[in-house]
Amino acid sequence: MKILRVILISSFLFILCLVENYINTFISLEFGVYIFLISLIYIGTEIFNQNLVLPIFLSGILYDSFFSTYYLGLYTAIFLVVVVLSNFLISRYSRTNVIYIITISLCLLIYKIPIIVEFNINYWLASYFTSIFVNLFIFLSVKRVLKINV
Amino acid sequence: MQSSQVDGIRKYIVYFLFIFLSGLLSVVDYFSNKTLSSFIPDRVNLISNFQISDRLLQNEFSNLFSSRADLVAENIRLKEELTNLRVLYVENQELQNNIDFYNDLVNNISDFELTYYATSLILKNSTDEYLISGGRNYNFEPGDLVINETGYVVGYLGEVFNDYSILESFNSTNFNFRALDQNNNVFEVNSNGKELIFSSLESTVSSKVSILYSDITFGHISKFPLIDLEPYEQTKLNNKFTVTVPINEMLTFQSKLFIPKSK
Repeated sequence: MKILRVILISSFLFILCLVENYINTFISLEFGVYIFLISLIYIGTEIFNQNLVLPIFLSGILYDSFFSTYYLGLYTAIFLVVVVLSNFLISRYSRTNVIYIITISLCLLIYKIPIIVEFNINYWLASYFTSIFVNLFIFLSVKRVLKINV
Repeated sequence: MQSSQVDGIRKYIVYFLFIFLSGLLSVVDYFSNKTLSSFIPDRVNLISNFQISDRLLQNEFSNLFSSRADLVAENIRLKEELTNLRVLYVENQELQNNIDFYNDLVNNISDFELTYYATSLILKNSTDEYLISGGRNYNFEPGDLVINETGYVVGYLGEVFNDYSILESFNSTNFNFRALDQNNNVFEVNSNGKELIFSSLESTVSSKVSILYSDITFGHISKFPLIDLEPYEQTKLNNKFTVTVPINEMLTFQSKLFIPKSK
């Protein structure tokens, strides 16, 4: 049962990752919609659990294997760091919108680190700032919807 | 207070262990020349597995209707026929598109000794690299040129898997290309994501540079135009040319792409 649960959550996260890439292939605007990043931050801030480490790790390995040209494990580590960082910030400070903005800004910075390292600042800065607010809006909406449903 | 702080750190231990494991995998992958990262893609046909089978399209839906066949037989027959016609219509549209793609290409290329495999965009990954259909199943290899319907080079294959490949396009982080001008001067092309930077490797360039071409001396399959540099400002420093060209066009799902291979 535990194995099945891990497989299901890993598959769900990998599909989210795939959908995120599809959405961003369609969008040719100066921002990205990072639904997978949002789900990682949601895991970190709302449902942080040690049992989720394996599904995140597996979805990262799948992403690294199929869609990334970097070495295996890079995106896996990035996904895990995003979850840890978002949980750390939310546990240490109060749950205000400012903290959520800071959390999403830092997590997005880590999430986009391969691009930030390889490209100059003109390439990513504008889209980075726009993406923060677009994804913050999505994150807060998702949080509110899920809270109402619960 | 102190106990809650310790608890706070403890809850991350498993995460830190897995981050360490990821780092370890990266190191092993680095020293094994990416054997580890290509292990799964080499064994799984990811793209083919997502295709909807023709059987499903043609029969399964009609089977749903056939349960009512006893009641309205004629209606069912017409529905089946309609389904088949729809499948044929989609197939016909795809073939028509392919013919259009190849017609455009034939008007713009001169080398008919090669086979041109039509390929299409699948998605763009987090580092702005494009995944395109076709891989080892078509004998594609890393470094193979990718051209558009006008016969111009749009990139080359960075990595090739079973049924898909990663395209290093102009706005890719790893884009690095060599090309020749009409006087056989060598140019190196790099990208910063928003601009292409062309630098001559020789100091003999005298006149204004126009069209750059791929060449077999760099391992390319044939001579294909890359870009016409004439409209852009060309700076000359120590007898070396540098041209910066903004990248305006992005690849879309409608982009027509071809990979030339020898027959």
